Amino acid sequence: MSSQSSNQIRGLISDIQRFSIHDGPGIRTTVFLKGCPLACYWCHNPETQAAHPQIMIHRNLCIRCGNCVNACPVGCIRLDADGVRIDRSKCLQCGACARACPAEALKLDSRWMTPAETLSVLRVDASFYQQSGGGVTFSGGEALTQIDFLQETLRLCKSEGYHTTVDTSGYCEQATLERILPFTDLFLYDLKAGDDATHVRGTGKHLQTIHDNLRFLVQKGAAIYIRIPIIPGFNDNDEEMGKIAAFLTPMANAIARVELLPFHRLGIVKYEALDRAYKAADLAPVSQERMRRLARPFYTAFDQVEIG
Amino acid sequence: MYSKVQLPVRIKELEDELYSIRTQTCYERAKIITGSYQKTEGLPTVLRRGRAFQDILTQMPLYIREKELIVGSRSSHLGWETSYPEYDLEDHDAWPEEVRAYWTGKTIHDLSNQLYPPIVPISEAEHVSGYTTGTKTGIGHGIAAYDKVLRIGFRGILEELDAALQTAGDDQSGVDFLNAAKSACTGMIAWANRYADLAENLAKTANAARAKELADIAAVCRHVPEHPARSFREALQSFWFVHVALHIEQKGWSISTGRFDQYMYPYYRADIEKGLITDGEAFELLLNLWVKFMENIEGELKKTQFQNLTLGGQDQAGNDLSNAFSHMCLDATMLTGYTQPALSVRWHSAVDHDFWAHAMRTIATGVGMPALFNDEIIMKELEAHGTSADDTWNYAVVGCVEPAIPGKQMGMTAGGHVNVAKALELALFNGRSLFTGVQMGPATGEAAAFSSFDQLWEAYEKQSRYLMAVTLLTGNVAGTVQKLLGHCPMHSCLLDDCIARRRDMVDGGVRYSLSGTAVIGTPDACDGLLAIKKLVFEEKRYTLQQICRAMEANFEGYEEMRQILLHQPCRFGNDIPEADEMANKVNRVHSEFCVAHPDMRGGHYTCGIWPVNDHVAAGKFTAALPDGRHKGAPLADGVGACHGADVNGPTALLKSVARLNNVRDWQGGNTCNIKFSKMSIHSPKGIETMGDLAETFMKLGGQELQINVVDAATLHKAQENPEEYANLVVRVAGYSAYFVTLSRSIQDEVIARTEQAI
Repeated sequence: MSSQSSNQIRGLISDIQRFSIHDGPGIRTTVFLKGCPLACYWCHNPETQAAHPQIMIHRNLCIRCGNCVNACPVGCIRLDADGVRIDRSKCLQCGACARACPAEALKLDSRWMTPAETLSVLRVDASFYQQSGGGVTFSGGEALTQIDFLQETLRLCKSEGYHTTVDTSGYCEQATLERILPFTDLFLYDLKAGDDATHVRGTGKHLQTIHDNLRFLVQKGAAIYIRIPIIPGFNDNDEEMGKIAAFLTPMANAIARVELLPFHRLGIVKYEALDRAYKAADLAPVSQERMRRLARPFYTAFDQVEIG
Repeated sequence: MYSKVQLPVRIKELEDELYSIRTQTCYERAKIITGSYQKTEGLPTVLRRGRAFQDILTQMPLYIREKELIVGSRSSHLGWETSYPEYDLEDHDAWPEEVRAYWTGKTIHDLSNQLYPPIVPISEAEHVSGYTTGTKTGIGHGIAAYDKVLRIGFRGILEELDAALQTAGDDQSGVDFLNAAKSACTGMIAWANRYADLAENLAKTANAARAKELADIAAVCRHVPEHPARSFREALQSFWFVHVALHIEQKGWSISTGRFDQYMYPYYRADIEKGLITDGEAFELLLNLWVKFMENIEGELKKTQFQNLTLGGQDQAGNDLSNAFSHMCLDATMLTGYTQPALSVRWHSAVDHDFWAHAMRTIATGVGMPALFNDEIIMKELEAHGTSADDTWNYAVVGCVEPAIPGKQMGMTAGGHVNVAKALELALFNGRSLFTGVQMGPATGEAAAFSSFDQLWEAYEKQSRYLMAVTLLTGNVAGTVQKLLGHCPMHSCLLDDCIARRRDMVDGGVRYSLSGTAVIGTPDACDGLLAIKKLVFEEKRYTLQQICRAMEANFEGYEEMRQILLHQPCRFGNDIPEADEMANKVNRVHSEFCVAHPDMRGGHYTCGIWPVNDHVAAGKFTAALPDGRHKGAPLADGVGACHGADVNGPTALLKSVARLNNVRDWQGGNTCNIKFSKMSIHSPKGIETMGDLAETFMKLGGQELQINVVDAATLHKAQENPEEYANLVVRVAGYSAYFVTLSRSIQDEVIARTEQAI
């Protein structure tokens, strides 16, 4: 442990989802950590982007009791015709309103947990991991933004014998990545574009770091699945896929699987709950046929190409 | 090999005709039994029943369908409903005059009504207790020794009966039973020969191909079920004659096949090995049998007959018994998608991996079957309740989820119902129903007087026991009327030890008797008690009177309190040991009560929970509850969580359910239903994961699991009727939500993705 002792570490966690079946092998529990250096406009977990707690408002659940208005220490909540309104510029994210809300219409989107507390939640489904060859997955947000917590929690998971997976954008310092290598059995490594200008347009960041880190993981012999979200109008064309494939092909032996994940709009509910506009709200879903076409450049070099 | 994607033309044609039937009542059986009873006035009932059954089989108009290879039906026309006047005249309006005149005042229902104490109609009116099988129908719910007929034929059984008569001495009622059984068995042989005659007659005018088929049918029916089956086809036909005849003898449902893949397999294997039949021919015959199971529903196919068929499981040494024919049965259901027979698969620690995977693939088609059963729990359960360890390994499933030993156990797994959520309502209102104000339970004190949780608990226990007592009372009424009027001598020949004891199955002839009761609403009672324990007695946030006022108002004006009650975190189904222990405490009350009470056939009562739709019906008459549930809303389905209470996902729910003390409390079987959208589980990996989920549940000690994989058509239905699909969760990477709470456009997107998932 570098700067903090184990019992001082806290992670800011937006959700711990048991029975996750799409984030690595078998039945898993996925820990969603808050904070992300990228800003993908299609992101379906917008609550995980900010590195601080936020209030989410589910207006359909509000019973208009007004308890939140009274509970707010800075008076930034009012009830109007649509239900609860929060002046987010004044909100302290203290969570007093959420604690006062009987209907769970207001919820703090995250909580601070120690590695040991997190492990105690992960432990309860160990029998399911064992049966299914599953384990635990750390996702986000970008899990690596909370490296101290991540490293220590991964270490605890390995000491319990769990299979560990980290779902990452790869956008971090190489040294950060290096810290979790000994405790990570599988990386789910996201690639959003093959072209740097496209990547910047969609995520706000350059590709270089992500490419370098993937090469680093390959060189270290890590187990890797590549995950490519297919976003209509952004990367759903043969040219982008060709560039991603061209970049990956030299590393094909080290990459166990390529997964193409079709865009979905289900995150829209969360944008509404955060009072945020969703720039991908009007994108059409990608057809299965289109997905199969987009996957073609990968089949020659990779044994396992899956469409999620 | 046979096609797993396309139905044979013959089966498709049989199926098409089945789906286009227009039903009406067939009064033939009613007329024949009435005529028969008029001739046997004054004789002992068992003899009259045996004789009437024989008369029905020798006089009933028969038909053979255009394309079918397996024959035998209950009524005179395809899809018509058979009539049973001796049970209840309220079933139909248009009884022939002589039938109505003869049976008025003499039916089983009439006798039950005379025997009911006044509390029963009061309790039944609000669906609280009572509603016992056997008070206006037959008992059904059993597994006959089909294998015995395959092995020795009814000729062999007649020899057994003659031998028993030799030693019956002066046991006159025993002699009567044996003679009744002889009439019944003689009727079976005559009935099959009438089918042979009919087939031969039809052959005269049929085209050459069909004439050959009809000649084969005739040859088969001349031989079985009179004699032992010599081939796979004869075994199937013999089985089917017995199965239909069990439904002709009594007005019963949940008449189940037992371990069909076990007793059929030797015939299948022998014919395949000798080259007498191809896999394709065997599969077509099996599919024809599946059509017959559907026909036996009679009338509208959306009803069910609960004909349960058990596959797989272990032998006495713990070896897996699944075989090639077990796989073929799964394929038949996978290909047809038929709701009957209802398939059950037994799990144990040495289960064959391929067989288990095949079961999962069948489930993944969305047919909702097979249901999965845990040998290791159920065998312990049966042994704990008096079944010999030499028999438990051979259990099979009756009706929905009730375990029984084929050929050795009296059915009656479905006794009366009891709504224990209502017991909590009564406990809080001094025994009064909040619906009608009627005093339905004992006066156990007004809520205002309870100063501790234990005092409330004591009142709850008394109310629950009282409601159970009413139910067992109706169970005893059913036992009495069946013993007096409901003899089934043919069925009795296929249950040990009826012939040896010279007693009918309704009269204590059967070796094992475990009479089931169906408990409804235990999760609701559990969560209601927990809400009061936490918020009234521990946190002191509300008084008990405040909760009662809110219940009386159906939470109108108390929405804030309702939300707090609903979100009280200590609820069953979330992998919280304290909550799950409360469920065990609730269950112990009714299970101890049942086990302590003998039934009418030498066994005792047991508890099961398999509400079918009764959790909806009983919910309509249950007041608002302390867990925030509104008045009239459905109660929890089986041992699943209350609606919306299981917020930690399926692994948490299954851990809670596995924590229930199944061996002690749920000897009568229980149902745990979970639903997945096809979108979540459609890939080979998804299906494998589903198998792992189920297998972990079994290893943790779960008893039964039914997994429904929801397809796009069902999601469309959920859009139209959201209240019926309130529990349906959809999951995609990093996201899960109740389907019905999503906006319409997002729902449409989920449906689109589901349609793509094959």
